[in-house]
Amino acid sequence: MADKKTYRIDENALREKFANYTVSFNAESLSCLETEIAQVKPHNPIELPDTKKLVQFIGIPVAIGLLGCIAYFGFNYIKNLPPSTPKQDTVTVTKPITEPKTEEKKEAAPPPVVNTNTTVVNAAVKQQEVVTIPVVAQPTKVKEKKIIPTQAVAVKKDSGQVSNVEKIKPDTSAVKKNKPDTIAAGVSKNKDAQPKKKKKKRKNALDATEDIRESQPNSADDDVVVPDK
Amino acid sequence: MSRNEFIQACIKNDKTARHQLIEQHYGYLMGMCQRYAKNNEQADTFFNTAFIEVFKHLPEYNDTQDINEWIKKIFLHSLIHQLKSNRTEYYITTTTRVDERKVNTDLFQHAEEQDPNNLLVEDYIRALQKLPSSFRAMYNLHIIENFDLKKTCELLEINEESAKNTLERARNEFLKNVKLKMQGF
Repeated sequence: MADKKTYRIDENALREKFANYTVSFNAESLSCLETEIAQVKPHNPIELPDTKKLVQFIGIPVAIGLLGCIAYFGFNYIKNLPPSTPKQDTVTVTKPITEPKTEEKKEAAPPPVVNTNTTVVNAAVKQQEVVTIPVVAQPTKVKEKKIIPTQAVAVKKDSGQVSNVEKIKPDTSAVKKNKPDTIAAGVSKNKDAQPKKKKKKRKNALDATEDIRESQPNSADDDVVVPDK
Repeated sequence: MSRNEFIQACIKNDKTARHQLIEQHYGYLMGMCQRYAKNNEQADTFFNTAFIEVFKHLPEYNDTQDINEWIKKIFLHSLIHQLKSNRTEYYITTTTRVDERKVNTDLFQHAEEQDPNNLLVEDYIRALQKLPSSFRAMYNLHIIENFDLKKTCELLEINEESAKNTLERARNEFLKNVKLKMQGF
């Protein structure tokens, strides 16, 4: 049997062959190519213009246009504004968003309310104390002393009550006369000797005072005060 | 005339400058187009279309770049795009079954082997042009242009598994075509 060689194509040698391979120039085949190439317009790479030109031809007109638009629409906006501006009300409408905060404040308030209750209680106590103090005594007497002469002056002025004024004067005298009676009360002889006359005088005085009471019912407390003078 | 002035003249639609640029790069670029095309007529159209793309993108060229590599890169993308644009030729071949290659390779089991590396470059180009479009693109990019598999997948927009599969089939098909060429077919 004859040995068979298996040949393979040497790719590196083939590559070198093709690298060195050149086709002879054929001018005829280029006639149509030259006509086509003459119509070709080369792609000029895009060149950005200078910044000065950009500003001059683009920036300034655009800026002027923007300013004009802003002025035009701003003027229209101002024109279309209503005379009254209820916008503040609309602003207050948006406030309910903050309502939870106010509620929190209200919730935080109760502790002071407790304090106020305590203070109220103290105030009530103080008021009670204040009320009790005038009941005790003398300032009321001073007021009553002042009231009496006004009543007396008023009585003097009133022509219809002249008899009452005349009756009051003997009352004071009767009181002054009673002082020796009280002094003499310790002596048993004077008491026993003239009790009827004194009783009559007292009756007259009491009658006079009762008449005064009837004429001036507001002066009911005067009976206590007058004898002290 | 410096290179920059030459490029600026081409940009300004100077006919002599353009003609000079085409003449300088025609040889290897046309050979490249012949490898990617299915025949010489299609290679001419590929070349014209790709060179138009070169003139379109000429203002983007930098002096720091190698002009040959820059034009070759534009040609490569243009050729792949032109191959893919013919969808019926490009995508139908990718759906053929891999098992067919076993049948094809069996044809050479009993034939006497010859060294496939002694052919002319034109014969290899003819063998490549007989490959389906997707196989031709894969073989050119990975074997001839020496791109790695990842870069090839990116250019052809396929995943690695299908790229490996396509590459294996393209190698077998190319070998078969070369052997057929050696036998005078």
